[in-house]
Amino acid sequence: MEDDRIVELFWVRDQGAIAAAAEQYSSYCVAIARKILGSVEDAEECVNDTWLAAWNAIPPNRPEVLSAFLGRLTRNIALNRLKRDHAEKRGGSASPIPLDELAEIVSDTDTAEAAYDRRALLEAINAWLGGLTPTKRGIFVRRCWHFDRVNEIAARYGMRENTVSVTLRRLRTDLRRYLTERGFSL
Amino acid sequence: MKKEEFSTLLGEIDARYITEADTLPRPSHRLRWTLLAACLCLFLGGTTVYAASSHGAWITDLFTDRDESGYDLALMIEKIDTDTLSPQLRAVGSIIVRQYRESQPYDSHYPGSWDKAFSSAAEARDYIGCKALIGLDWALEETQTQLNVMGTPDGKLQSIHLETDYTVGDIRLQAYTQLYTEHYTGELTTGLRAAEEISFTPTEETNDVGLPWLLVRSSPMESGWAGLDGYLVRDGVLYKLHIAYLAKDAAEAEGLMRQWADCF
Repeated sequence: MEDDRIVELFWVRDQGAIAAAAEQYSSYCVAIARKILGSVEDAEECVNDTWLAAWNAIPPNRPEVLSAFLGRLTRNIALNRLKRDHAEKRGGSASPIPLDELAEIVSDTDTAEAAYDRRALLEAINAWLGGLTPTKRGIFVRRCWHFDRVNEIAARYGMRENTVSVTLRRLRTDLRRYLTERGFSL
Repeated sequence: MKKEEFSTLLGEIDARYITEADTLPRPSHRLRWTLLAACLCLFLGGTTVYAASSHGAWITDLFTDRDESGYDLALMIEKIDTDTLSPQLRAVGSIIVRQYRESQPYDSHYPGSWDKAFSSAAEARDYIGCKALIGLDWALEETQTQLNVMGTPDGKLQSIHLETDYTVGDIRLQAYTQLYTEHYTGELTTGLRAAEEISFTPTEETNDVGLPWLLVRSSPMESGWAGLDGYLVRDGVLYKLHIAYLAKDAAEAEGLMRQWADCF
């Protein structure tokens, strides 16, 4: 079913919307959640929450790109679940490696000095992404948004794993520099 | 800012960038130029004459930029007949058919590729079964051997890649053996990419029995590691050796590369 039609079903509160979205995007969303949570069972539970979240979000939202919208909901739900599990186990649950790598961009502390405007920061990140070549942007997004492993990214872009690792490290350094130069204290 | 908070923010990036990253990348212009160059060589030189008079691999593009350096090689290799492969390797075709059948559009793993680890390169060659394969007769200790087979949705094997790794002190060696079957329809190319500014110096060499091969020297990276890459085609098989070494080991690395070439 076309994305517009699925969104329309959500919009008119037709419960067939959930079945249609699940048929079209279940494996996409499970793949995202699995990379964050590390388990197919947990990922499938998480994606069940995605359909409910989409039901609650549309309307008022009317997503232009349904895959990205559902993927974003899944990603947030999975990250929240990871955080909850982490808290319950008092640090017993490991965070995914791509998440740990973000500590190279931000301080990873909750200090009061960290000052930023969320919307402005997001605009700056989008501007930085917009200045990259499509390949470098893809590598960064696959790692930091989709939580792909380095070997998966290397296979996707026909690169050596070492080249992908080095590229990612440089991109993180470059993003930190870019944001710092624009006054974001992270 | 906590990394979790930053990750949540990254989740809200422009949807265009997410869909762009969801789309499989198209081959680069460089690769398309490589294909054109390969076709041109075929047209101008003729397969038999060129294959008989060269090492079977030649550089079609070489570039050094601040963020990326590399080169592309076009290959002149006779494709092998899958009937010359062992029955057990040909049976991998059915595994690949199943991969395609069970694949979902958004799976993170692509169908059409099958891997198997072996305890030695000799064991892997026996598994492949192709008589044209030449083993490296040198006394280096293997650290790992990995076989990769690529195939079509209907189970036809297209390419077989064997990698064996070695270490000699601080020197790291990766020896590759690549075969392409009659079902392979892609570009016959290979090459190298580095994510920083390094330079490459290709030279044409001959081994101790007069067989031509290509040597590409890479200048040291920021980490101090330099590279040597050797390419040699014989009997429809591409043999490659990548050596990564530090400056103190330059002479030994060169010696190992020439030992490798003399194995053929």
